[in-house]
Amino acid sequence: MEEPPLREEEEGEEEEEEEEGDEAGPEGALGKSPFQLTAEDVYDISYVMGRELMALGSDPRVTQLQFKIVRVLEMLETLVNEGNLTVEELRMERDNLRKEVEGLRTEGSAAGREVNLGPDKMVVDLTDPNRPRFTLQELRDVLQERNKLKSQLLLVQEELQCYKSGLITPREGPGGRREKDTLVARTSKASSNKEEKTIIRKLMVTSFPWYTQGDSTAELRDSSRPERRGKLHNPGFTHSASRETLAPLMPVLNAILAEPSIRGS
Amino acid sequence: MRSSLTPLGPPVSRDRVITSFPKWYTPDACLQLKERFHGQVSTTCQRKNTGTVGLRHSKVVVVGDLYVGKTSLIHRFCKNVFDRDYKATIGVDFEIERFEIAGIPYSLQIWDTAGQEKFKCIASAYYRGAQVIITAFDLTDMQTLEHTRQWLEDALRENEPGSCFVFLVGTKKDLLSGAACAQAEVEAVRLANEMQAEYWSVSAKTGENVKAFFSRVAALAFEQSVLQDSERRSSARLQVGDGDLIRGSPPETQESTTSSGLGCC
Ligand SMILES: Nc1nc2c(ncn2[C@@H]2O[C@H](COP(=O)(O)OP(=O)(O)OP(=O)(O)O)[C@@H](O)[C@H]2O)c(=O)[nH]1
Ligand SMILES: [Mg+2]
Repeated sequence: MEEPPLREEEEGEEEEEEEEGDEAGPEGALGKSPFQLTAEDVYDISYVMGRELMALGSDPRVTQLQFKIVRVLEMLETLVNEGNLTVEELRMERDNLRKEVEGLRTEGSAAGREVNLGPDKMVVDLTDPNRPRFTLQELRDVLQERNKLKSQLLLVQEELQCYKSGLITPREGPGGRREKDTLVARTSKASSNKEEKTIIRKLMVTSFPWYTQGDSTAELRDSSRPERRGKLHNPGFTHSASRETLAPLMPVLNAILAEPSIRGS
Repeated sequence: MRSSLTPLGPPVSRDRVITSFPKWYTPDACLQLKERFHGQVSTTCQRKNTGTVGLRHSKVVVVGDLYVGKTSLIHRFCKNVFDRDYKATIGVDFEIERFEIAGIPYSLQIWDTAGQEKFKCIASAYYRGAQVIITAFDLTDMQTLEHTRQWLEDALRENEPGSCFVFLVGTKKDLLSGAACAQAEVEAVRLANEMQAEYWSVSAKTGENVKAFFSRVAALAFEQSVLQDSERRSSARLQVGDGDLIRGSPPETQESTTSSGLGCC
């Protein structure tokens, strides 16, 4: 390799100098900075010097000097080539580093906000269907709602079982229930959630036609308020048959409804 | 034979009827060694002096690392199913299991908490008021045993000191050879003693020891409830108008004054 290939992104400064060198002809090589010498310059120099030596004639001292000069020029050539190889390596390394920095910059700007958020923050991809969407409080509420519904379901199942095993009969149901249940439903109306009541009532009506007269879950919900804990089964099921039959489960369910303890933060 | 004062409820399934006191798993780590109900309890139950006892339930909280098999254990017991696929518990869930112990209806309210760290703040809101704390670990992963210390500490922090029975349960017994299990149990029993817990090895997959374990939990909790109730009632005897919890039960019994809660262990 006589001349290191010039890189396109070479700084203009360097190119200018080389052009100057070219314009100055072989003599110009001698005016160059030693750090910018190429093998080509060394050949130019040897050409200039050879020409001048020749002009000195055939004196044997000149011939002796000529050998030494050739040797020095060869040494120079080697050094220049080597130096240029090193420079080339350094350039390549620099270019690689440049590319790396470039890459990091584009990545960084994409994730720029994230990087600046700090250690406890994260970025949510809004296009990800599995991204987190709910707050902790919402999850808490959902769980409490689920617990409530589950306990009501258990109650219904229990009642169904009573019914199946003949502990409550449909005939027995409405008569004893009617007046007191409507009363309970009325008193609890203020505190109860309307929508939820409808669902539960539907559920109850499907399973037990006599529930149309009242809403047995109203008491359950109502009595889940902490100040009434411990008295639950007392104002609870008012119909004697169901009060007897469902009594074991009532306090358990009421306790479920009161979870998690309100005192907890 | 039931007195008319005892709430009936739908019949409890046969294998939830506990007549004799369920035995420990290993005498090396058990909460009590006796093989019968406390004398006071038998008397109370025989007399059907259970105006309140019949309505009682205990809160059980199950804690431990994710994937150790808490949900599987509870589902094996309450629903007699086993699912090989892992479905992490979201926050918290509960089951209610009804027993008849010494002739008295009794329910366990079993809270299944999530082991995943991100749900800890939600699940821990349900620790309060636990009568029983079950700390579960995976017999095939001794790291989970080490973590039970922390789980217990967190659960105890939410409860009155000395108010909870603690159980340490090694799960997935079916995955270990007898020798490997025995080896793991040495470590576990040591830790159980440190925690003042009763130790059990179980398998939700095969069902081994699952029923025996929960029967033991129910019996211990039941007995304690009856004893505490006698104590409470005897001390509350002088307070007039404590109308709650009394449903046609006879006036306080004479012997309840002598109980003073001794001799539980
Ligand atoms: N072989 C075997 N596998 C079990 C047993 N118990 C649970 N597993 C399996 O272990 C995995 C985790 O069980 P889970 O009951 O969901 O664990 P968990 O403790 O409730 O987990 P979190 O709800 O995340 O806290 C599931 O794949 C179960 O099938 C067992 O006794 N034997
Ligand atoms: Mg679970």
